[in-house]
Amino acid sequence: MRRHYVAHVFLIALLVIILFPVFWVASTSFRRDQAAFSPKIVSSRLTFQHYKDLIFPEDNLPAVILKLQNIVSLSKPYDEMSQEEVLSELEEQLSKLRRYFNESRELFSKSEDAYESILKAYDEEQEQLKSETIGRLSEIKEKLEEISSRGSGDTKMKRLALYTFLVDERFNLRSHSFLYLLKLLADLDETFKNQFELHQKGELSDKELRSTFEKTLSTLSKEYSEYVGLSTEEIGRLKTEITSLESELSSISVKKDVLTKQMLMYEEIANETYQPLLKNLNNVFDNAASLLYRGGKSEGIKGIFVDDEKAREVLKTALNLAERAKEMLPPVDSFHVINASLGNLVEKLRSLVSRVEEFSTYSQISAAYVDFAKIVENSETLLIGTLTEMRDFAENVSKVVSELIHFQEEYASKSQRLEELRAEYATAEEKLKEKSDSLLPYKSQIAALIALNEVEYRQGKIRELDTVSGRNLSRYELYLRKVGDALNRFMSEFPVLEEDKRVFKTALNSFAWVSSFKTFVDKFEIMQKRLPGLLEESERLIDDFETNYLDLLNTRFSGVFVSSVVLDKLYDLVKFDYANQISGALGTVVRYAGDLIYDFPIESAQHLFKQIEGWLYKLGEVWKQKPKHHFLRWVFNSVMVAGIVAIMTTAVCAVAAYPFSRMRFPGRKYGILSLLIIQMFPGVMYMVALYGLLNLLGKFLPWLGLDSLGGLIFVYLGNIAFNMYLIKGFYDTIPDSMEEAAMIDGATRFQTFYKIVIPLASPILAVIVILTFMGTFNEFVLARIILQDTTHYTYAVGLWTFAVGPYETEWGIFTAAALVGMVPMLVLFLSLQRFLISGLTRGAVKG
Amino acid sequence: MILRPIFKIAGWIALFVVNALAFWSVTSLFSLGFESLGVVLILTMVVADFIIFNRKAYPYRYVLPALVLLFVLVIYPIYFTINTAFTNFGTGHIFTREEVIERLLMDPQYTFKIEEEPSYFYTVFTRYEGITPTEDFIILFQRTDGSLYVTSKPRPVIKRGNVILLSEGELRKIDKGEFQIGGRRYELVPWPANGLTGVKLVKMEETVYKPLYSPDNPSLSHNEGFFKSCIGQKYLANAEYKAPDGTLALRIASDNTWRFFRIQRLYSITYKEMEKDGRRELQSVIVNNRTGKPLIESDGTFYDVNEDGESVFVAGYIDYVGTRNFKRIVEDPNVAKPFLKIFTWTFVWASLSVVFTFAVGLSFALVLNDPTLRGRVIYRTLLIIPWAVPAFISVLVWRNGMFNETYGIINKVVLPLLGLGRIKWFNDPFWAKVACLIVNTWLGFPYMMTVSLGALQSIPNELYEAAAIDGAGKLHRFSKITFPLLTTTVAPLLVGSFAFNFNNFVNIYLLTQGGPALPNTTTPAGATDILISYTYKLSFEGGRGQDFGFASAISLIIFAIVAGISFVNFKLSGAFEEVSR
Repeated sequence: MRRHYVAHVFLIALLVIILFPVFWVASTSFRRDQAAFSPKIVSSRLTFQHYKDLIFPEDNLPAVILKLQNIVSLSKPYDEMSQEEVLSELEEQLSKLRRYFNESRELFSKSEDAYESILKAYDEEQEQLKSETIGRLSEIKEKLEEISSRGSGDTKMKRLALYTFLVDERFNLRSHSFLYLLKLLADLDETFKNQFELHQKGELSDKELRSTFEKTLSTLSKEYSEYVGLSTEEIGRLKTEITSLESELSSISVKKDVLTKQMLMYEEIANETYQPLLKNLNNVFDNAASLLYRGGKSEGIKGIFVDDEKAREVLKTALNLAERAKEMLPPVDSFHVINASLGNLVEKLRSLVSRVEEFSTYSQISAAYVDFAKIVENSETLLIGTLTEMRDFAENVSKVVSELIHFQEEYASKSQRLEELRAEYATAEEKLKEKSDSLLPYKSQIAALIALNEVEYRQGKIRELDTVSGRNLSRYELYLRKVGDALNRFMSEFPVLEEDKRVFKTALNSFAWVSSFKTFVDKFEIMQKRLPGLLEESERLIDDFETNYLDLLNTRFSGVFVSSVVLDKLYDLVKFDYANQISGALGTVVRYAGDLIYDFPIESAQHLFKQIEGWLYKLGEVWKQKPKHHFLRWVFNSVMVAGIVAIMTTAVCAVAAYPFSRMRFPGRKYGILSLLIIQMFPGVMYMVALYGLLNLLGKFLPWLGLDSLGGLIFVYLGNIAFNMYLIKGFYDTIPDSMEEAAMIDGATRFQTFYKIVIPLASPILAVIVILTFMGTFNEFVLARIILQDTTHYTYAVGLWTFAVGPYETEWGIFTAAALVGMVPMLVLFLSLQRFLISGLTRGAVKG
Repeated sequence: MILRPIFKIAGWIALFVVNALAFWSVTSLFSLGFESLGVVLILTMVVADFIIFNRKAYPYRYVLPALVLLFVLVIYPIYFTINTAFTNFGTGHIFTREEVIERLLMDPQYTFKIEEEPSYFYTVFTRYEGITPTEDFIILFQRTDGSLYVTSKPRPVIKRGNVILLSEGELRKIDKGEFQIGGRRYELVPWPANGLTGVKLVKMEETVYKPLYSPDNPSLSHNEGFFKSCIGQKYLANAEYKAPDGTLALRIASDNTWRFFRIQRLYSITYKEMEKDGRRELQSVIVNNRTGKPLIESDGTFYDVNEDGESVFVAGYIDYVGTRNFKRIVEDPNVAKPFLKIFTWTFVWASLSVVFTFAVGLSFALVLNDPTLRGRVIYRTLLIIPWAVPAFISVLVWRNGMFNETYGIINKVVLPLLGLGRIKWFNDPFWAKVACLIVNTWLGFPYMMTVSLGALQSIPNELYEAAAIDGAGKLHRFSKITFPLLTTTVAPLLVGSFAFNFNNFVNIYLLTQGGPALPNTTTPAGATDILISYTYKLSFEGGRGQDFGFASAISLIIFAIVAGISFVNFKLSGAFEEVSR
C-alpha cells in the first residue's frame, strides 16, 4: 500500500505539470486582466467578456461611430437600402451611441464615488496605519542591529571593509548616508575622529575635513593593498598591458596575413609566368649548347670571321643575373620547381661561358660557333629581359620572406609574453578574490549598519509627516520605497540568512500596498482630470450630429457624396485622445485596483476596489478598439467542410473497400498497400499541384476555385487509402454466409452489399465519419494556403490569426477561441477513445 | 422492375455525356498548356470506361469513385511533383515558354510610348442611371489637328480563363453629327460642335451618354475616381485602340493624369532558320523593336541587351533543367551545407521524438499497468488529454503561452522561480530544438502510453509467475520478459511513429516556423527546419523567392525515405498477410 501512495503522489505531480497548458488555456480565457503582461499565472478576477467578444461580438463605441459614418455616406451595405430603412438604422445606432455615453458617465461617476469613500476610509485610518508601519520599520531595525552585531570586532578588518565602501563614494556632506559612513570611519580611526568631532562642533571647515578624509582614505588604501598583497594599480597595470599586447598581436597578425597573401600571389606568378619562361630559355640554350658542343665538320674553315664579343657579354651578364636571382630566391618549398629550373639554367650558362671562353682562344672557329653566337646575340632581349625580371622578382620575394619571418618571430614572442601575463593576472585576481572574500563578513556588518541607518533616517522622516494621505502620500511612498531599495540591495549583495530574509520580506510585503495605492490614486486623478472633459466634448459632438444628420442624409440621397466631419472628429477623440490620454491610466487603475482588493489594509474598503475594478473594466471594454473577426463564421465553415468531407469520404471508402474484402481480382493483394504507400508522399508537395489545380478550376467553376470552401472540400477528399484499409479490416470480420444466402434468394451483389454489409458495418462507418471529421477539422496547412478571405477561414486558420500579429498578446481571446475548439474535440475523442485507440494502434494491441 | 431498362438507358446517356465532357475538357486543357492534367484526365476516363464496359472488371466498379479521386488528388500531384523536380519552376519561371512569349507580345507592360506629349485628347461619355454613372461608355477623341474620332468599349482579344490579357478597339473618324457603331446610330449634340469640349451629349436612340471624365476638363474631375477604378482599370488598362497614325493606349502622363498615347510594342517575333543537330529548323526569336537586337535565350530565361551591351533579365519560363535540382543539393555549398544540417536534424528530431515519447509513455504504462492501483482509468483518461486536444491548438498554446520569450509562462514565471535566467526559446538554435522536442514529447507520449498498455496487457501472466518461481528480481523480469516482448509488438508502431514525425510539419511550422534562420544560405533554411517544412518554405514563403523545382526534388527524396520506412514497416507488422486473407 505504501508503494501505491508513492505512485499516486508521483502521478498527480506529473499530471499537474502535463495538464498545465490545458489548465492555462481554461483559466486564461476567463481572466479579466491582461494575462500576457501579468506576472501571475492565475487571477481571481474573472469575466466572460472574451467569450462574449468571440461568440456575440457587439459593436462597441468606436465600431458604432464607424457604422454611423458608413450610414451617412451610404457605403456598403447601406447603399442598397431605402431611405426609411437607412434612417431607422441610423437612429438605432445613434441611440446605442447615446447609451454607451450614458453608461460611461454612470460607470465613471459610480467609480468616483467609490474612490471618494476609499480616500475617506484611508484618511480615518491613516494614523493607525502609519504607526503600524513605523512599528514594522522598528522590527526591521532590530533585525539589522542583530545582524550587524554578529561576528567578531576586528578593527583592522573592519577598517578595510569600510574602505571598500568609501572608495566608491563621492565626498558629499549633504548626503545623510555619506555622513553616516564618515561616522563609522570616525569610530574606527582615532585621528579622523578628532577632526570629525571638531567639524561637528563647527570648528573645522568642510574643506579641511575633506583633506583629512582624503588623507585617511589614502592610508586606508595603503593598508588595503598591503592586506591584499598586491595593489589594485598592479592589477590595472597588468590589465592594460594585456590589452595593449592583444591589440599589437592583432595588428601583427593582420600584417602577417597581408604578407602571406602576397607570398601566395608570388608563388602563383612564379609557377604560372616564370616557370614556362625559364623552361623556354632552358630549351633555347639546350639547343644552342648542342650546336656548340657538337661542333661540326666545318671546323677549321678559314676566313670565317666572328665577332663574339657581344655574345660573350650577353652570356656573362645573363649568368650574373641568373646567379643573383638564384641566390635571392628563398629556399622555400613552394619555389622548389622554379628554383630547380633556375639552377639548371645557371649550370648551363656557366658551362657555356667557360666553353665560350675556351673558344675565344682558338684561332680556328667553326661555323657552328658562329651560328651559336648569332643565336645568343638574338636572344639577348629575351634572355636579359627575363633574367632581370627574375632577379627583381627574387629580390622582392626574399624581402617579403624575410619580413614574414620577422613578423612570425615577433608574433611568437609576443604571444608567449601574453600567455605569461594572463597567467599572472589570473593568479592575482584569484588572490584578490580570496582576500576580499575573507573581508565579506565585515563588509556585510557594515552594509547592515548602512541599511540600518537608511531605515532609521526614513523612519524619522515618516514620523515627521503629520499625515500620510493626500499630498504626503507620494512622499510616504517614496520613503518606504527607499527602505525597500536599501533592504533589497543589502539582501542581494551580501549573504543573508534565510530566516533574516524572511523577516525582511514579510515586513516589506506588509507595506507593499502603499506603492500600488499611490499609483492607483495618481492615475485615478489623471482620469478624473481628463475623462469628464472628453465625455463632455464628445456629447457636444453627438448633439451636433443629432441636429444635422437628417440634412446630411438627404444630401447623400440626392447623389452628393457626404461624410460627417462631426463623426470624424468624434472618432478621432475615441481613437487618439482617449487612447493616448486615458486608456493607459485606466488600465493601470484597473490593474492596481485588482491588486488592492486583497492588499489594502482597510478591510471595509476592499470591496470598493472590487467595484471600481469591475466598473472601469467595463468602461474600457466600451471604449477600446477591438479588431474585427468572424469567429462564428469560421466555426461554421469548419463544421460544414469537415461534415461534408467526412460523409463523402466515408461513402466512397465504404463502397471501394467492399471488393477488397469479398472479391478476387488482379491488384487486390497489393492494391491497398500500394495506395497506402503512395499516400506517404509528402503532403506539403501536393499543395503546389493542388493550388495550381484549384487555380485552374476556379477560372471555370468559381465555387471550386482558390479561396472557396468548395475547393477546400474537394482537395480534402484525397485522403482515402487509410480509411479504406480500416473499413476493409472490419468487412473481413463479417461472415460471408448471410450474403451467400441472400444471393441464393436472388439478390444482386450490390444489393447484398448495401442491404447486409453496410448495416452490419455501421459502427466502423460511424467511427470513420467522426475520425475524418476530426482530422479535417484539425487540418491547418492546406486551408491556410487555399483560403485568403477572412470570411472564408476555417476555425484552424482563424485560430492561427488569433495567435500571431496584433493578437499575440491578446491572450484572453486566443485562449477563449482555443477552448471553444478544444472542448468538443476533447469530448469526441475521449468518448470514442476505445474505437480510436483500437483503430489507430491496430496490430500492436491485437496481441 | 420495369424501371430497370429506363435506368440503364439513363446510365448510358449519362456515361456518354460524361465522356464527351471529359474529352472536351482534355482538349481545352491541352490548348491551355496543362498537358499533365489533361493526360491524367484522359487516363482516368479510359480506365473508367474500361471498367464500366468490361464485365470481368466488375469488382473495379466499386473502386471507381475512389480511383477517380485518387487520380486527381494524389496521382496527379505526384506526377506533377516528379515532373517539376526536373524543371526550374519557381519565382521568375512561372509560365510556359508560349505564355511568356504571348505576354512579351501582348502585355501592355511591354510597350513604349512613341511620343512624349499626347496627340489625342479624349472625353469619356457614359450612360447614367439616375445620378450614378454606369460602365457603359464610349470615348470621343480629338486629334491635335482638330479632327474628331469615336470608339466604344474594347473587345477582349486574348483571355486566360476569365482574365483579359488584351482587348482591342478602333477609332472611327466623325465627319457628320451622327455615326454608326455595331448597327446602332449615334448622334452628337450639339452639332457642329466647337471641338471636343463642345460636345455635351451623345444620343443613341433612347439612351443618352453624358460626359464622365476628361483630364482636360476640370469640371469633371470629381468623377476621376470612378473613371479610374471602374473604367480605366477594368476595361482600358489592357486595351489598345487602332488610330489612323498608330496604336493608342492609356498611360500615365508626366503630369500624373491618365492619357492616351501612341505606343509601340517593345517586342516582336520573327522566325530564324537555325542549324540544330545537323538539321535546319525554324526557331522563334523575339526581337526588341527599339534596339533591333534579338533577345538572348538561355537557362529558360529571356535576356535583353541594353546600350552598354549588358544582359538584362526580361522574363523567365518553365524549362527542363535535367538533374540540376538534385545536383544543387550536393554541389552548391550554399545549399548543400544547410541541407545537410536539415537532413541530419530531421533524423535526429524523428528519432528523439520516438525515443522520448516512448520512454515517457512506457513509464506511465508500467505504473498504470498495476491492477491494484486505484483510479487507473481516471489517470489514463487524464493522461490522454494531450493527445485528444487538436495538435495545432496545443502547439499554438505552447508557442504563445508557454515558450514566448517575453510573455511566456516559462520565461516569465517558471525559470525565475527556479532562479534561472530567461532562455531564448526561438532565437537560440539549441533551445529552439529543445522546445520542439518538449512539445512533441508532450503531444506524443499518450499514444505511446496507450499502445504500451495494450501490449503489456497482452503479455501472459504465467511468464512472470514462472520467472518469480525461478527467483528473478523485478528489474530482471522487466529486462528479460517485459521489454523484449513489448518491443516485438510495438516495433512497427515505433517505426510508424518515426515516419510520422519525419514529416511532422504542423508541429515545427506552427511552433518555430523553422527558425532561427541559418546563416550563409541562399534558401530559407532555419535551424529547426525539417525537410518537409523546408520544402514548404521553399514553395510558399516568398521571402527569397519560391523554388518549386527544388522543393519538388526534396520531396522526392523525402518520399523515397518515408516510403522505404513504411514498406519495411508493413513487412514487420505483417500487413501484407492480413490483406491477403
